Amino acid sequence: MILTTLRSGEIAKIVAIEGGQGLRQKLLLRGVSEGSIVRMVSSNRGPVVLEINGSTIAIGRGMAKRIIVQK
Amino acid sequence: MKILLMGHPNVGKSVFFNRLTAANIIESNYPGTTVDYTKGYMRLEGKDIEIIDVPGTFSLEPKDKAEEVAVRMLHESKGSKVMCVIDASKVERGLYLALEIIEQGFSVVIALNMWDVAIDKNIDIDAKKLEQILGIPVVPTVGISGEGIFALVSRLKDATPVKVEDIVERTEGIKHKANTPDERWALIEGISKKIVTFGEYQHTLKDAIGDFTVKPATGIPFAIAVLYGFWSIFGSFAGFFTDGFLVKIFDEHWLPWLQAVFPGGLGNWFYALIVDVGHLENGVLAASDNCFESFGALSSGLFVPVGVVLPAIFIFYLMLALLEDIGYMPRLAVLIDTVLHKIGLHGYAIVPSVLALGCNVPAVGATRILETKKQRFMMMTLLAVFIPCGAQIGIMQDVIPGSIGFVMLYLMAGYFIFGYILNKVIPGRIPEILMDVPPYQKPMSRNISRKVWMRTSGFLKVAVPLVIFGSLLVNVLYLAGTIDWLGNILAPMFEGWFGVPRETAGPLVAAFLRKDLAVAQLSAIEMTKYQMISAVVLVSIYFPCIATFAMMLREGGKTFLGSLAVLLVVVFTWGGLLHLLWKLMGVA
Ligand SMILES: Nc1nc2c(ncn2[C@@H]2O[C@H](COP(=O)(O)OP(=O)(O)OP(=O)(O)O)[C@@H](O)[C@H]2O)c(=O)[nH]1
Ligand SMILES: [Mg+2]
Repeated sequence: MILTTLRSGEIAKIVAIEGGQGLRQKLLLRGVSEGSIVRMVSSNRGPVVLEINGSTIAIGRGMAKRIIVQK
Repeated sequence: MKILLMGHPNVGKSVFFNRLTAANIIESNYPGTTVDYTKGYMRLEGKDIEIIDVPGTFSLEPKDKAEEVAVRMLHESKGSKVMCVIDASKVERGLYLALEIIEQGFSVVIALNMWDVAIDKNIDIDAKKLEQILGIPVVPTVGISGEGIFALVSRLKDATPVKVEDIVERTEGIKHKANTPDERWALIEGISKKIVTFGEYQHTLKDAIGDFTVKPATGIPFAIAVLYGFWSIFGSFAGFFTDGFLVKIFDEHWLPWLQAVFPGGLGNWFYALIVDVGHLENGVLAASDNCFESFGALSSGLFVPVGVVLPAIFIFYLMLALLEDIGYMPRLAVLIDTVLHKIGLHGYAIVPSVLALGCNVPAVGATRILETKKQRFMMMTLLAVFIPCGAQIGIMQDVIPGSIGFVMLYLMAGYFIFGYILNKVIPGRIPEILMDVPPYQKPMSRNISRKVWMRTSGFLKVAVPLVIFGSLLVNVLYLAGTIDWLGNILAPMFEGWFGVPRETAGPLVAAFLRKDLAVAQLSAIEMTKYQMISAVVLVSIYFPCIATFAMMLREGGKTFLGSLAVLLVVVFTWGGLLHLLWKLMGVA
């Protein structure tokens, strides 16, 4: 499923980042990588806010839609 | 030997720099605080060693102007040692930059900073093992308490260039080289498997508050409450000191004293420049009884920056420092992102915008953190035109307490409307927000007081001489008849188009030097409340003050001409529109 469909409080694992090398690299440099466990903090409106390994990060929705997760 | 402090944004580089050099660089709890490099000296074994605080960068492929500075600094510093600061709670991403720097042949020492945060989050890191794999010194540190920094410095001598192939070899299980990003990430994964263990992360009250204040449903009402509180405290504090004490001191003691002891007296041109121009009462020149009307370089020229603006600036910077250090700014950025996207910016633009409310000059610098040319141009232009600085807001509080709310709203509306139009007209990409939201932190009084002191004394150093010089200049121009001449020539535009008295010419000349002085001078001109609002708006949106002007030239280069064009359009339309509004209301 797509990251943005996770509801606040739900936990999932990132399985793929769809998109060019540029986007992948940008996300990896912010700690968003395949295999990471994420906790959704806010997904209803505005940028998606995630918690990964205890750190919080805000990601624009367009980018967040390229991230595939599995519950 | 030269030392470069490098690392991702918000990992504590500036904290290190301040500790090592006893310098004063702004440290704040959000990424992108430092956008230019600063040099300093550190004493080590009897020698002064140059050390440079570099803007944060994620990698050596720069994505914005601040990162470009960082990468350029590195390339210009062949042969120096690099202190690579890594956030211990985010080791992997930090190692990527470290590997890139090692690859370039630099001698590197690694500081695993925020060690306390990693412990809080139950993240265990084997620093010894990391040192062994990388073949360079690795030292756990806590920047804010200074723990480990001494050890770090003493290990500088052990830093030598290492080969990435050797690191690959020492990381068992990795067979390939590490030349491409993917290979580097694979190597980092191999390393981190051996050195990092993530324990169960215990959520605390701090995290709950963090979530609450970043989710739109709860965060937006909270943000409104915070901003409202900010504004109320700002107004009451500044009013309390200015009206309660400083006005009395200046009007009842300082001005009469000057009038009594200064040679010359009313009518003398030199006395007029320095103390009091006086005003005509039934055809007779009479002395002024307050520092707004006296116009003298030592009366108004001191009263405006010290008597009125200083308390406002002080309380503004105090509250700003609190918001910055607690870590609220990134949350504000997330909450306002959707709105700012409509005008071609993204949430991070809140940082330059809020800084501009203190002073436009550092705010123009802070636009470096925006990724595209379009965004930088828009941000720079919008803030220089529409965001009044703290000095101007302070004086408005005192001069037009009843209408300041309207003026601020009118300017804010302009910011959004012209932002919307510019976004449609200017070609270019608007990237999305991608930002670390750092954990909330207890602000440290030492850092807060230092920041407030630096910014406030910075204001005094610039404002006092400029306001005094501005008063002198305007007085000379008055005496020479230049202002009246200008006013008469421009009268059709002032009176016909903007609906303000032609005497506004004087304050507009002053506005080029200092906006606070300009608003103070407006208060001495006789006009209706509505004309006054129009005039204050004109002072705000017409040319930025000279300091901002210089900064825009430096940062924007050629795009500055574009900003000027926008500015002219705004002055005529947005300024004229207000006149039209007054006409429709029947008050002009
Ligand atoms: N808990 C904790 N906080 C720290 C530590 N070191 C620095 N900080 C805080 O981290 C924040 C960022 O510090 P800065 O020195 O401004 O970070 P920087 O690396 O210069 O950031 P940029 O200028 O944005 O690149 C500040 O709020 C510091 O108080 C540490 O070891 N532990
Ligand atoms: Mg810094």
